[in-house]
Amino acid sequence: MTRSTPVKEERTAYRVATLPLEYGTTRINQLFTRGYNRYIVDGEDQPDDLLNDLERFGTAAFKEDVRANAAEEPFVDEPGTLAVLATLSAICVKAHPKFEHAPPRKVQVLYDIRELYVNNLASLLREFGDGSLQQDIAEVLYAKDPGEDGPHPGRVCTGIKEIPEFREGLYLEIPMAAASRDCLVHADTEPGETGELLTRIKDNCLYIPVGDFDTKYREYARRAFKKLLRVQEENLSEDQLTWLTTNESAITERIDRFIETGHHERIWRDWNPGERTIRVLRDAIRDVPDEVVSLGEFHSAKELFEAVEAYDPEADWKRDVCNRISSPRSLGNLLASQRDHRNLTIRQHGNTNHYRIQESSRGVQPLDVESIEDLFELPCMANMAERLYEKKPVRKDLYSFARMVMWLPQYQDNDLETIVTDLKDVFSRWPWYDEQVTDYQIRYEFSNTIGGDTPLPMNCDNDDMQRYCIGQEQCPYSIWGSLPFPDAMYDQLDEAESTGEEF
Amino acid sequence: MSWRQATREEIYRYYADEFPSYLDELPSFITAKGPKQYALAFREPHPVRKEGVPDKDFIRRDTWQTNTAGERTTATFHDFDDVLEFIRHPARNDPLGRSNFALADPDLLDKPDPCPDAVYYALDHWERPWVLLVDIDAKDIARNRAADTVSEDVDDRDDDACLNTAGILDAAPEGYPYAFEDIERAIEYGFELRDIFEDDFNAEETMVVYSGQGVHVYLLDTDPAHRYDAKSREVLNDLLQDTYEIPIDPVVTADRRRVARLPYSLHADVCSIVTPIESPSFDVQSATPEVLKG
Repeated sequence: MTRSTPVKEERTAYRVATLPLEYGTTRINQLFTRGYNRYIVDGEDQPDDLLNDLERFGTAAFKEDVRANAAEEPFVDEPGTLAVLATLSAICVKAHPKFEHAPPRKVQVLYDIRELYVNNLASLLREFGDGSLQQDIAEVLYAKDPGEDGPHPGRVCTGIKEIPEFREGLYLEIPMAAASRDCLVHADTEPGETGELLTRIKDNCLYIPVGDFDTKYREYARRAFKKLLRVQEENLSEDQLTWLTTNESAITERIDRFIETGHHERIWRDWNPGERTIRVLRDAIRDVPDEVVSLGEFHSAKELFEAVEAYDPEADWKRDVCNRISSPRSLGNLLASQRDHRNLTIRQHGNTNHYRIQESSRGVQPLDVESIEDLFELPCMANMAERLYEKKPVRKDLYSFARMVMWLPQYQDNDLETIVTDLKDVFSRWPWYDEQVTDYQIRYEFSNTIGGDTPLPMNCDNDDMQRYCIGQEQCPYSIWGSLPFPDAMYDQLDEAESTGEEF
Repeated sequence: MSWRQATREEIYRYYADEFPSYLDELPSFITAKGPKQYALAFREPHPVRKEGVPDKDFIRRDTWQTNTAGERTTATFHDFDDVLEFIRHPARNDPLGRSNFALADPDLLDKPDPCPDAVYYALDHWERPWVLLVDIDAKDIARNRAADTVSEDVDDRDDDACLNTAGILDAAPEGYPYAFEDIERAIEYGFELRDIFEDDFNAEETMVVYSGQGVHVYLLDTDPAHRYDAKSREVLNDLLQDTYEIPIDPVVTADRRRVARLPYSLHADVCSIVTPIESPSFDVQSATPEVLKG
């Protein structure tokens, strides 16, 4: 018996494309083969066509309206092609020199590509077939782990139906014996409140509104994309990858343009929220006609709020920031929480505060370091701290950390025991912490001097910091510029630079 | 009407004279070998044979011996009379026999033969592992009622203070953390729940049992559609509480390892027979054993 493969059989292609987490790499590679086959005409590869299409896909993904439209009508009409174009576009993004050392979860443009893929897949799914594929997917989305009686013997989803006595629309039918709490769907409400239960009960079955399927499937598809991307990455040979990154230019150029024009929010994920607020306010103030408010002048929260209300930005993230500002009071609170921002000054004026937003400056924000904890203000150190909750440190992590601490003024004159105790106190927050091991490692770093000199702390260009760097262009800090290192450090730095050795 | 604890002699008399007359009424799945265990609770802890092992006020006894593969080998009780003997005189008829962990022989002790304050059987059943029991407790209903009544007036929010302020501790049955109206409400909820089981969950075999201080509602259908595992039971809990607003004990519902009061056993704290009932108008007074009347 020959099993149907996604190369030849459309329905199998749809199954693998929609449920890749349920399949192994062989089937997923067959899906890619199906996608690549489209670029073989009369036995001849058509690499230019592939390149055109993936550039078209990648650059289109950066446009919000294209991503949104794809949810209504597919941008790519075939699951194999979609899988190929989306993953190759993502590979081109990851290969951009800007992102070489950045963790993918920080890169906004990867999210954009994924969103176009997910929306596109959702509309393909809707257009394909008779609902039996949706039922297959529901089996996966709503399945529970096998209980003490073993797996549920029947189908998890026994149908997708309209039930006249319920509210309009389609419902997924899940027998009670197959149900888990995932099947209890509540209406959206304010955070912290539970909305009305939308799941209904009839004939010993739960009926889940099909909208919940869409939500859960989108979540699944996001994880699915990660797997497709991994399989594609493993699948590409070094030569193919070189060919791809040498010949692709449109996606790379688009990213370069974002960088040149300062659209950091379009390339970086989770752009610092305080920074975002100030940027949006700055845009809103600039946008106000007749200079009712202006940059560099003090204004009341009410005046600034009116500027925000009148401002109608296009970018999603800017609209989100505006939406969070619901009243002069909320704006005041938001600004008060950012009072340390370098471009914001707050002045008490009678009983009310007045706020001044300044033009952005290229200066580096100084960082007060009273305790070691304050180092986590640096985005790279915050990223490192976050990662250390998941993984043990590599030695480079430890010495990045230890060397910064070595040079802090308050530790310059302290004995080693105090430093070791304080550092251990910081390290003990992470799950891998073992007092003896950490004690040894810290002492080792401190004894590891270079010709009797304390090794210089990392700087922002150091390779070992790159893995945690959010990109120097959008970071308000620099390690050597923002930390209160003593002159001795800079003296040593000058010496090192003059002799041409970095560390 | 008042409520009181049964005396030891009354308990002996109940299981000797009156309980046997109800044996034919027991649900058919309650047999000598059906549930995986029977269990007894004692008012006073009773010593076991082995020195240094703490005295027991609750014992579970398996209905079968099993081998390492979990297969049944020897039945502990051959017929229900064996179970009855065990209930009547647990220390003399302990199925653990000469084991060190069996109850100590009353002949060797100053203390008298222990008598069961409560008799239970395991919901975990050899042939029907999906027996579903929902517990509705008058105490919970009373507590909710008290919380509603005294919402802002009482600083001290602990249960007793609330119950006291709401007058529940003083209401008949005096001293118990619920009033008779709470038991009656529990029984009404029990029949509402039975209807829900029948109407929305397609149940054919259901049972409502007056438990002494509330009700137990059973769903007993044996077809695979009613084999609710722990996760399905969690869903059921949420639905019963949120959608149907039935005040159930969610822990008991989800846990198949529980033991339940044996129908027609005596709830000795309140002198009531645990009674399967057919109607919400059931009079709890009628569950008082004949041997205790007069």
